[in-house]
Amino acid sequence: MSAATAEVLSTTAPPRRRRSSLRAEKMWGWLLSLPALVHTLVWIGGPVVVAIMLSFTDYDVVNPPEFSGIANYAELAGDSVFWSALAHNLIMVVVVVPISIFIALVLAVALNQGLRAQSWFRTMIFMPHVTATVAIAMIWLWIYAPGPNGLANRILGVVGISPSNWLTSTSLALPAVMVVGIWQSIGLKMLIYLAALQGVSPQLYEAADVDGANTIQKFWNITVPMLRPATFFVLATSVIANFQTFDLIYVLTNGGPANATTVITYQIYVAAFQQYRMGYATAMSVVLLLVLVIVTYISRRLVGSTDGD
Amino acid sequence: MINRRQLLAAAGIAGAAVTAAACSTGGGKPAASGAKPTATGELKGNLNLITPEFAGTEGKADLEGGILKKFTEKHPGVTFQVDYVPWDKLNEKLSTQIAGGTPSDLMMMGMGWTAPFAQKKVFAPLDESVLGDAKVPKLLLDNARYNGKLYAVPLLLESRPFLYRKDLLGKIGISDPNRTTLDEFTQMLREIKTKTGKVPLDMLASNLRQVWGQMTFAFGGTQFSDDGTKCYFNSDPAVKALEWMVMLQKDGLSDVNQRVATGQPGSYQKGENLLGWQSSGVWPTFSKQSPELVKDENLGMILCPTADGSKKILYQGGTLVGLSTRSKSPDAALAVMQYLLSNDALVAESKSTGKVPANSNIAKGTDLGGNKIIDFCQQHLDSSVTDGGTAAWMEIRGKMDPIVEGAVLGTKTVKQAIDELQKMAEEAIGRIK
Repeated sequence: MSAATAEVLSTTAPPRRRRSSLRAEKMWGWLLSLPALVHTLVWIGGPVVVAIMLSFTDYDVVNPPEFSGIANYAELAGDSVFWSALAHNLIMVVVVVPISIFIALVLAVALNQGLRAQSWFRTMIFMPHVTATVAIAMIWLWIYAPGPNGLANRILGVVGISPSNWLTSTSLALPAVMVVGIWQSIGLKMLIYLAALQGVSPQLYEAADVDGANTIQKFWNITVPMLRPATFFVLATSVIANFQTFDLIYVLTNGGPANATTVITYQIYVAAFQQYRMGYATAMSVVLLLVLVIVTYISRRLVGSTDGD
Repeated sequence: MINRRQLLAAAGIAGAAVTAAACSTGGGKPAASGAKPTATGELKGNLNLITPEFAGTEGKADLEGGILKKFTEKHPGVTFQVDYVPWDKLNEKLSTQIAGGTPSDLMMMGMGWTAPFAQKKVFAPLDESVLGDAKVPKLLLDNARYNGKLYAVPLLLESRPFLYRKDLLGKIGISDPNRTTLDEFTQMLREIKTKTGKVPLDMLASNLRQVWGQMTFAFGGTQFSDDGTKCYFNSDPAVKALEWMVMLQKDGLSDVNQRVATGQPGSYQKGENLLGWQSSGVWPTFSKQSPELVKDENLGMILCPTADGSKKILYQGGTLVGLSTRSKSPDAALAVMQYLLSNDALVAESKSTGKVPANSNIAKGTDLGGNKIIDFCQQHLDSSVTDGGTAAWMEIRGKMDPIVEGAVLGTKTVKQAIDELQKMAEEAIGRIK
C-alpha cells in the first residue's frame, strides 16, 4: 500500500475511529514516558522546587524555616567571597575546559591511527577518570608538598628552579588545582572523541586526499567539523563539571589559602554544613543553577547544535 | 489519561510533600530541662555516642573495650553505638544528623561549640550535679555554659604550649627560652633566626584562627562579651595580635608556607624549627615517629608570655560532651557523662588520646601514659585561654580562617582584615534570634 493510498484511507475513515486511535496513541505516549516523568518530578523537580523555596527562608537545619524574602539574595550580592568563588569557577572553565578539550582531541586523533599498544595508552589516559578524586588529590598533595621533598619541587630542582609553595601561595594555588583538573578530565573527553571519530566516514578523507589536502587541512576541515556534536557534548558536560568541582578543592586546599581557590560548591557546603545556614546555601545553589543554564546556552550557541548541522 | 492540569496538581502535591519532609526536624521528645543524673535505679537504653576522639582500631578498643565496658559492667541495661568521626568532619556529621532528626544521645564536640548548639536547642541544659566531684577550671566551664546554664561537660583538653628543642637552642647559647614579655620573646626569635638562619617558630602553619585567638589574650584582650552578643575583633589587643602575626610572617620568624597536609610530619617534627606551638596530642606521634624529640635532653616546654608580662597563657582546644534534647534515654546518658568525667575514666581517656584531662582533681604524678606534655599542661590549667563564646561561633569560626590568612599572607592589610572580621562577626551575631 502506497503512502498516498494510506493517506486517502485515513482521511476517509470514520471520525470516531480516528479520534479513538489518536487517544490510544496519546495514552501510550504518556504511559511510556511515565517512568522518566516520575523520576524527573520526584528526584529532580521536587528537590529543585524545595531548594528554590528554601532559598527564600532563614533555615538553620534545627528550627523550621522562616520566610525571609530576598534577604539571602541581597546578602549574596554583597558577599565578596561568593563573587570570588564564582570568579574562580569562571577562570577554571575558561582555562581548564579548552585546554583539556584540545589535549583530549589531539590524543584521540593520535590514538585513532592504529598505533602499536594503543589500547594500553587509551587505558592509561582514561585511568584518572575512573580513579576516586580523593585518591588523586592525595597523590597530588604529595606531588605539591612544600619544600624540597615534594615531587614537583624536586623535579624543578633538577633544572635549578627553587622550590615553590604550590598550595599555600595565593598566586600559585589556583593554577596548581587547575593542572590537576586538566589531568583528571582528559580521559573521558578523549574516549568520547575516540567514539565520535569512528563515525567519521573515511571517504571524506579519501576525497580530501584526491583534492591534495594535507594532514592539518584534513584535521581542521573534516575532523573538527565532523566532531562538532561530540564537541558540544564535551563542552557542555565539562562546563557543568567544572562548576560542580568540589572534592578536589575539599581535599587539596579547603578553598584556601585566603579563599584563593574557593569555588561556589565549596561555599555552598560551608554555608550548609559548617555554618548551618541552609537557606543561604540554597540561594547560592539557585544562582549556580542559573549560571549553568546561561553558560550552557552560550556554549550551545558557540559550538552549534548536537546534530551537527 | 492524565491531562496537563492533573499533572501540575500532582507535581504540586509531590513538591509540597518533599518540602514538608525537608523542613521537618524529626520527632522525639526533648529531655527535661536541667537534667540531673539519677543516683539509683537500673539504667536502661541504647545510647548513640558521636566522638571525634579514640580514632583507629586502638582508640576503638580503648573506648569500647575499656572505658565504656567498665560502665556497662555496672549497668548492663545500657548499650552503646559509637560513631567515630574525625575532627574535620565532625561539624558536617552533626549537622546532617540534626537535619535528619536523629542526633546522637551524647555528642562530643569542640571548645566554643556549646553556645551555638545550646542556642539551637540541640543540647539539653544540665544540672551542675552532673560534674560530681570533678574540679573543672572556671574558664572551661564558662565555655560550656549558655545564658548561665550548663549545657556540656569538658572532658579532654588539647593544650598548646610552646615546645622547644633544648639541644638545638643550647648550641646557640639559649638554655632557657622562657621570657617575661612578648617583646622579649619576639627578640629571642630574632636572635635565633640570626644565629641559625632557620625559621625559629612553627606557629603560623597551625590554624591561624586559633593563633589569633591566643594572641588576642596575650595582648590583654578577649574576643566576645560575656553574654556573647558583642564582638571585640576590632579592639586594640585583637589588632595588635594580628599585627604581631603579620610581623612574624614578614620577618621570617614563622612561616605559613611550612603548612603540611593532615597526617604528614610538621616542620617542628622535621627539625626545621627550634620552637613549635604544639598540641599535647603530638606526644604519641612523636614517640613513635621521632622518639629523639621527646627525650628529656631534647624536649622543653614553656607557656606563651603576655604583652605586659603579668602572666603566662595556655591555649586550650578541647573535647566536651553534650546531651541531646531528643535523647530517649536521658538518665542513662547523664550517668555516662558523669562517668566519663570521673577520675578513672578520664585517666584512661587521656592515655588513649594524648590529651589533658579537664579535671584538676587528678592527682599530680598520676600515670597518664608518660606524656610529659600532658603533665606540664595539667600543672598550668589555671593559665587556660580559649576562643569562642558566642552562639554565632559556628558561622564565625569558619569565616575567620581565610580573612586572618589573607592578612598574614599580605593579600589584605591588617586594617582591612580587622574591618572584615568585625563586620562578619557582627552580622553573624545579628542573625541569632
